[in-house]
Amino acid sequence: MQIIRTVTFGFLLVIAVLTTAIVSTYYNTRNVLDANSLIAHTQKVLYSSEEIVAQSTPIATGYRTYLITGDTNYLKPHDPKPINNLYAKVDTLSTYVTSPSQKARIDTLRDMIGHRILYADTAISLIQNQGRQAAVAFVSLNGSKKILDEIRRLVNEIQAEEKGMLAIRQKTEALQQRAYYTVFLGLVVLIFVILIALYLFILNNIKARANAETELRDSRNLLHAIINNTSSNIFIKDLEGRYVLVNSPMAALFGKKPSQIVGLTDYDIVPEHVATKVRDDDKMVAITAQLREVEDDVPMQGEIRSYITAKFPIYDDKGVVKGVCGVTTDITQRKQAEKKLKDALTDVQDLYNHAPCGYHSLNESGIITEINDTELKWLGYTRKEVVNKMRFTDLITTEGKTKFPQLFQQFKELGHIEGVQYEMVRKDGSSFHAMLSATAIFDEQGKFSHSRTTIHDISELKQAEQMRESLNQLLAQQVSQLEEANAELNAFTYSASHDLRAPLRAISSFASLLYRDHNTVLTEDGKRLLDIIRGNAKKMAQLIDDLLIYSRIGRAAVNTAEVEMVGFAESITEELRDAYNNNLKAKFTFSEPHRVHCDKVLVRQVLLNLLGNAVKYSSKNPNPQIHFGWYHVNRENVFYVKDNGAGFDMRYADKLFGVFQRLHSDVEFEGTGVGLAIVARIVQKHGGRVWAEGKPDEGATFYFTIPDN
Amino acid sequence: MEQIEILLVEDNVYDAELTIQALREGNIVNNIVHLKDGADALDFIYCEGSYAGRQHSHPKLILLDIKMPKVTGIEVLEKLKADDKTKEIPIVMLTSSNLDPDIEKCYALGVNSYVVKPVGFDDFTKAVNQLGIYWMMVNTRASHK
Repeated sequence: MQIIRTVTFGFLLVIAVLTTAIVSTYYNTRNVLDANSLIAHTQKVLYSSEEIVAQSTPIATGYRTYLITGDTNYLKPHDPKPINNLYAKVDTLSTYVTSPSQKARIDTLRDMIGHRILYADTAISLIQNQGRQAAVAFVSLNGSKKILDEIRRLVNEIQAEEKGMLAIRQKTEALQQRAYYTVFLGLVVLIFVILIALYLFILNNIKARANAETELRDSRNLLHAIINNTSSNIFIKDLEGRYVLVNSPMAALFGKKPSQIVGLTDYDIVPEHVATKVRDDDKMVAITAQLREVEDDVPMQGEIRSYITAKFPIYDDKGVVKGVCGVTTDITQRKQAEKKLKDALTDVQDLYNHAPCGYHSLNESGIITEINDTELKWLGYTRKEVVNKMRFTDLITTEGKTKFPQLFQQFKELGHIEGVQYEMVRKDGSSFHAMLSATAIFDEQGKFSHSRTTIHDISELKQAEQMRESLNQLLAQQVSQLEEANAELNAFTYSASHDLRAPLRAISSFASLLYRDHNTVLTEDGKRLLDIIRGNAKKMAQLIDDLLIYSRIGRAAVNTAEVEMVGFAESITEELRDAYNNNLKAKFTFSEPHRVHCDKVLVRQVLLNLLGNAVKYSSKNPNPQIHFGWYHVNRENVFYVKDNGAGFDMRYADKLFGVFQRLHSDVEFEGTGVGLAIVARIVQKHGGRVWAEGKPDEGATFYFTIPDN
Repeated sequence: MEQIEILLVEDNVYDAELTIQALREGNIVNNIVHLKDGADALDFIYCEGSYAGRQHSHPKLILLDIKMPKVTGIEVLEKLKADDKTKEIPIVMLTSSNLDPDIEKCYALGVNSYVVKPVGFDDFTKAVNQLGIYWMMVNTRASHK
């Protein structure tokens, strides 16, 4: 607008100056014309005055010639007609002049002409009336010449004045002409200056406009790029709800191009109820002319998506709202996250409140700022009564109050505290024992913010502790009693076996002496009976030995070391071979070596008993075969001794490992019934198991396990 | 007086008889003294009490039953092995079982050997014979003069 005003003003100025120039030229031309007419006028005055002189001259000459000749034809100049003509010429001359002095001279001139005419008339009348003599005398006076000279003098004066006036005028005219030229030149220069200024101004403006247009284009491109490359949906709608602008992401949402949505309304692209709500929001923005944030749930490709839209009015040049612009962001994920968070918070809140332990938080001054339902229930207070009203010290006994300040200070410095016990006081005055552990929460500046305290009701624990203590005492008593009993039993076992062996030895030995030294007096039957006595004594001694081993194993400590079991078993079969004086029919086979951790002394007894049994029970087989093997399963090393001997009935398998339990009679196979009980006891001491599999007359397999370390 | 070859300290008279019988059958020793308990044994060795008038001489071997009334075999062993004058007398403990918890203790006290009294007479005779042969004939005492 400024430009238009400036340019208009410039052109008006040019027109004004031009007009001035034209006007001044006009006046100047007029001046020149005036000057010319003035010259012509002067020429006319000069001519006219000369004519008057010329026509005045014949008036004298005519009557003179007539005087001389008498011819009347020479009197024609004195006819009225030429005379009038002369007077007319004087009148004309009079009209030509303006100044009073000239007019006065012309009046005088007229008078002089009149005098001349009168003089001539007089001369003529003299001629006609008095004769020629008189007339010649009269004419000789030369009056006529004086008049004519006077006329000539007047005309010369008139001409001189006219010429003088013309000269003055011409001088003025020349000055004016010069001034005109100066002014005109000035105006022309001014016009040029203004035009150049205007040109430059317009040129600048055009350049600026071109720049502005480039900038505008650039910013438009930028805006376009931003609008179409943002993840937000951006649109502009007119007041009727028709889309004026839609960015690509938004159009893509509907599977369209922006141009396909422009011109449509929300009713064309979303369900009616959504469109109505959106339309109402748009109207509200247009009416209130204020930014408005709205959330909408819109069904999109089969799922409900949530959008948040910032809507604001768009104005036209006059500041009138012409539409609504909106920037929409898909907040579905955020909403889902929010919901998850909310659910999680609810869960946490629920866990917090319904935890089987109490929770509370103390601020820096020990005031309870949070507490869960469980603890409130324990204490019998409502949340309102406690939160931000009570101190922790209001909930504990006097004894607790005295130790709290120091502990709380320590806790705030350390950041945590565990296992502090307080006796807590309920609203009704009763109390219970509680154990507290707490973590300190520090703010960003590292300043103590609040505690997160866990509290357990340990009343039952305390009771249980008391009970446990009394039970422990009882147990300790019983243990010591048991130990005593065991010691007694051991002593008893030892002395019993010791003392039992002496009479056995006596029975056996003296029977032998009797048999040997009194052989001759004994009958065969008597000898047989002595054999029976000796055999039984021997068996009883074996029984006592086995019982002693069995009881000793019960007391023995297990000292484990790495033992290669297969080689160990093999060495024991060699011992057996020696014990049988190399009369062993049995053929032994072994698996590959295998190392385990066990008590070698004790396990020796196991192998001895099992291999010995295998030898014993397979002795009736013509081709006894015994295999010692192992396998590893479930962290257990399973060893087994397999024979092809007498076997056993699986129905009685559970009796195999009991003390004095036998599945065969002494007549079939000798035995005390303690060997396998010893095996079971040793294996159990190693944390292992024993079992057996067998079939009568088909052999038996005895298993024992030793766990991995 | 002939030197006591073997001092047998045994409270059980039958065991004592069997032991003496076994030793005699081997024809190893002639001079065997049998005492019935540890107290007697100590009196005998130190020529005290009822043996005060005995001519002082150490037996070549003492067979000592562990379990005896009054003073046990272990106490006798302890005392003799602790005494410089008697510690070089070979002492063999007689026990009813090789599982006897006192055996270790005996070794700690410096016993020279121990013998399990077998139940069977043949075994018993064999064991005692071997014992007698070893200590009477094979083994040479460190301080033999």
